[in-house]
Amino acid sequence: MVSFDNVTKRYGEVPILSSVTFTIEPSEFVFLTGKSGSGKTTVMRLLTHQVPFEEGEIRVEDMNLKKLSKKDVQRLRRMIGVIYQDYKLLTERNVAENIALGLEIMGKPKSEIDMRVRELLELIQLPDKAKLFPSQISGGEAQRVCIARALAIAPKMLFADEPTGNLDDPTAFSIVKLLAKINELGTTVVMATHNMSLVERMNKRVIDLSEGKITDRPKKVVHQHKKESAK
Amino acid sequence: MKTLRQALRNMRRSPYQALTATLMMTLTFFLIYGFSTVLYGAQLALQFLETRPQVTAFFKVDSTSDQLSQAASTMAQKPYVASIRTLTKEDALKVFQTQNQKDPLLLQLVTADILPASIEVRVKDISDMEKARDDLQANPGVDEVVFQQDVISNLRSWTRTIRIGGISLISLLLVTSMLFIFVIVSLRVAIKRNELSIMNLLGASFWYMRGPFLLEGTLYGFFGSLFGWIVSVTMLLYASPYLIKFFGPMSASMFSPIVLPIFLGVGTLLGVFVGLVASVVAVARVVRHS
Repeated sequence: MVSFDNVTKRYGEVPILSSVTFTIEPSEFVFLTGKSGSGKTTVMRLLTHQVPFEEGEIRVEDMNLKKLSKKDVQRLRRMIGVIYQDYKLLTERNVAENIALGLEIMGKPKSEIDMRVRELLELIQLPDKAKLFPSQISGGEAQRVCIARALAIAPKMLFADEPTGNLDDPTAFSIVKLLAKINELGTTVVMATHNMSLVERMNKRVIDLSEGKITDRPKKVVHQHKKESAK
Repeated sequence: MKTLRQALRNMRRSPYQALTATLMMTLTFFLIYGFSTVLYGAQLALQFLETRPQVTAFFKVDSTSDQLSQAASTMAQKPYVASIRTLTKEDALKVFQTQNQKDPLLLQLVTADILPASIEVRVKDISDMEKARDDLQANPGVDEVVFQQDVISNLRSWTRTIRIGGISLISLLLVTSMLFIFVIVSLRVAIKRNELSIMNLLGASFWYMRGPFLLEGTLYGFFGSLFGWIVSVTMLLYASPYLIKFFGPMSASMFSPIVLPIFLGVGTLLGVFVGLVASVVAVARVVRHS
């Protein structure tokens, strides 16, 4: 479904990703791990066609990301739901309106939007907070709203970019469990994180980035973290 | 429809900015319609005067009809002459009778003998009026030549001055209004920059993101033109008794049910164009710098 083939991305002269190659199969749950600055967010930006890349090939479904028209970019972005560390909720819209945004963009009828928003509010367990504004809810709740917004358009893939970065451990784990539940329903989930305890608890495939390159020992990374935690 | 609702919501959320832009456009279009009406009136007056006989030669009372025919055929050969009309003593009496129908006593006293025959000449170019006067005066039997060169040339000069002044002022106001809309739409887009970038990441189309801003600028132009027209027509109707008295038969065309809607149509197209151009530039500029 998603393939990176020898992808290199530079900002000016600084290499961010160097010859990165990996594939993600449909309905897979994958952790993208690495320290800050290792290139996790750049992977998300490349996948959503926010930045160009210099070398290699990226494919998402039938699309080659080097050759996309404006229409194709819209199609790609409606195929990949993105969850952000800082939620990026619209402050002037309430929870329900934020969730409905993607559906409005797609031009869905109001009755369908209302129904889908209700379902998603149930899924994220916030049915009673539909009318609240982002400033009136907690960080964990805001992240769940962000997930619901990404899910609203029924994307084939969810890319969660450090979704637990601003949350305490129990809340972070509840978010990961929610993502796992979504994955069980058939959506491919890629979660970028540097929280190794979460990675360890979920027991999913790991793609580990270090200085813009994929390391070949993701299992070892988890194992090392286990040892450090035990100390 | 959604785009229109969003544009109206944007305007409602910053009512003072919306009011400023609309008032500026209203003022601009009020002046545009005002100048257009004045120019149209002046043009009508000019046309009216130009269709009147421009140079009239009155013959002496004892002149013969041969002298009248001779003068007419001489003048007809002149290249600058557009048309000629001759009035014999009998024709002059008929005109006199038509003009004084309400005074039968006067009509009884006046006979064709005491009225002069005349020849009316219209020239192709107003600058040839003096030539026509001299040529008419050279004909035997001509008593007096009258012509209205001053009136027409003055009116032409005034019309030209008003047109140049009006166009300059209106252009300045249009540019100012455009800048107002540009600044206001730029502010709106800048405030919504974050929202637009999220919409962009969710796969929103060009029109979905930019449509409300483009429509907002267009609406300022539309409403400005409409309100400006309403104000100027109200003032025109208020002043109509004085205008009818002043312009006489010419005023009928000024209040024609076709002319005023045409003004509104053309003005609204101009307003929509100005609003759209300003907002297109504003949106493009802010998005480019984002």
